[in-house]
Amino acid sequence: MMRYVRLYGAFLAQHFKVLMEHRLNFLIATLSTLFWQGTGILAVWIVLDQVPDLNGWSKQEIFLIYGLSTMALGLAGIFGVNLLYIGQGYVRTGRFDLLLIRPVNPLFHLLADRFGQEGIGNFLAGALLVAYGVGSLGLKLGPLEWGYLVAVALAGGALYLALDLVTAVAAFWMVVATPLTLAVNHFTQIAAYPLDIYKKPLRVVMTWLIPYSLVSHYPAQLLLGRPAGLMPYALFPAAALLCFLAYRFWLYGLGRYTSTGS
Amino acid sequence: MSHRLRRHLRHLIAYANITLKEQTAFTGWFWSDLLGQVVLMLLFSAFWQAVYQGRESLGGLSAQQTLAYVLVVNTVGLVVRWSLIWEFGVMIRDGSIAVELLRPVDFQLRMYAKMTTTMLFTMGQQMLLLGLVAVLVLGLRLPADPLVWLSFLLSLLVGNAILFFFDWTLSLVAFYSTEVRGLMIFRDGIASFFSGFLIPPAIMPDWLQRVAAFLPFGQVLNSPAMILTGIVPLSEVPRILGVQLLWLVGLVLISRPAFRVAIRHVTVQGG
Repeated sequence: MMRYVRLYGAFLAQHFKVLMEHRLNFLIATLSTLFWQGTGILAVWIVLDQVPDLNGWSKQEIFLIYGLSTMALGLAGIFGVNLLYIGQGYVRTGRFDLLLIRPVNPLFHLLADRFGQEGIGNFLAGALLVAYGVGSLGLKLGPLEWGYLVAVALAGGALYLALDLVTAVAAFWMVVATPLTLAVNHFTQIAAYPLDIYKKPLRVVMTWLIPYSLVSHYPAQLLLGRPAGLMPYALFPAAALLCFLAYRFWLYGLGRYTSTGS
Repeated sequence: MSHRLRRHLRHLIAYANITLKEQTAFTGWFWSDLLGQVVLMLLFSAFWQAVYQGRESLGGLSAQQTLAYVLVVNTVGLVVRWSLIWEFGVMIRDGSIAVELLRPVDFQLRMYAKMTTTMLFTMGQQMLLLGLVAVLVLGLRLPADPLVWLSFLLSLLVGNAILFFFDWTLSLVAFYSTEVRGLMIFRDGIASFFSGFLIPPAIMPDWLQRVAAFLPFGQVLNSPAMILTGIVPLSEVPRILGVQLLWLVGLVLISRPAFRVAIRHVTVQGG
């Protein structure tokens, strides 16, 4: 485990050297995603400014949910962006063989091979929104709640990443699976809003099938002191289970991998 | 018809044909995009329904009007989400821009054929399917008047051309910076916002509406959507189309000389 942490550090150092070579591009990439998120947030802001609430959720409460979801999206984007490129970048070109012959876990190698700088912008936007929500609502968070918030962000990132991995593994059969990953990823946008504005089938999907809302809606309920039973904690076992299943599926896919290489 | 015009037309059709073939090869992308659009539609329709709960109107639009607007904009919204900027970046990076410039075909015309065919093809399929979801699942009611449809399609086509020439001019930044990803994300954010893709401009505060009027993006989505949803009456259509054409002519006139200046700075990175 420590070896992988050290290795990731080494990979990261290399990425940063490259990024610092193109400092302006790095800045543009971070700022542009921040700006992109900003326009979406501004749009929601304008609407919510004109209505007192959305199904009983105030603007500040909604931005807390929005922020939690965006933070997880950012984290998954920073560490897992390469899952989008496994088909085009590795399987189709034959570069995947390279990952297999190196003395590290191929999945680790794949993830460490690219640093998702755009994820930083998303993460920052999410963190700012959470801070805005907590601040403007005057939530008094003790160390336990802050710890919970950090754990939610990390487990949320892991859950987002696990779902990306499940779909990315399809690349071993389809060669290019990016559309599939993106398709499932679209549901993260639903998770940015309170679950109860949706009809029941969508609520069930977002809680049990593609459980992105475990990252945003339910934890927000706990932080806001709304009754939610044990659901705000469901994220942790769900993230662990999904990571486990996604990894098993990855291994299964790996067993089916045939090189296209040339 | 002059010989030159005939040749241009032949090139246009040939490139449209190639693009069609390319497009059918990527069915995976097609279905994923489609699902993404459906998800967005579900999200937007749930969001707006919640917004209008216990409310008659917002920014002068009724719940029915806003919902129809949002569904229409989502159905045809792909128009703004595509960008020429990426194509430029790729061509500069892999060096194919050099080959493109050597071809005895007008480069801008060729790209226009490519982008527009892609749009028409994908939208032809995607719009039909999305429209079906909007009508059957989300209760969108569409007008029966063929004149409304004709005006809508015309406005959409001109809007697409406006965006093409705007993107063309913006893409020239790639000749100086070589970085296009950030530029593309900026452009996507600003276009989604001001085109009406995220919220109808009518709902924006006054100062933002004034900013929107100075940008071309509203011409791309907002104008056709206002026509199809009947938020503006047919009698307004000539004025809307007139404004669109003015934008188009202006952007065409800027884009061509700008390209001639910027192309001198192209540095091909590889190939």
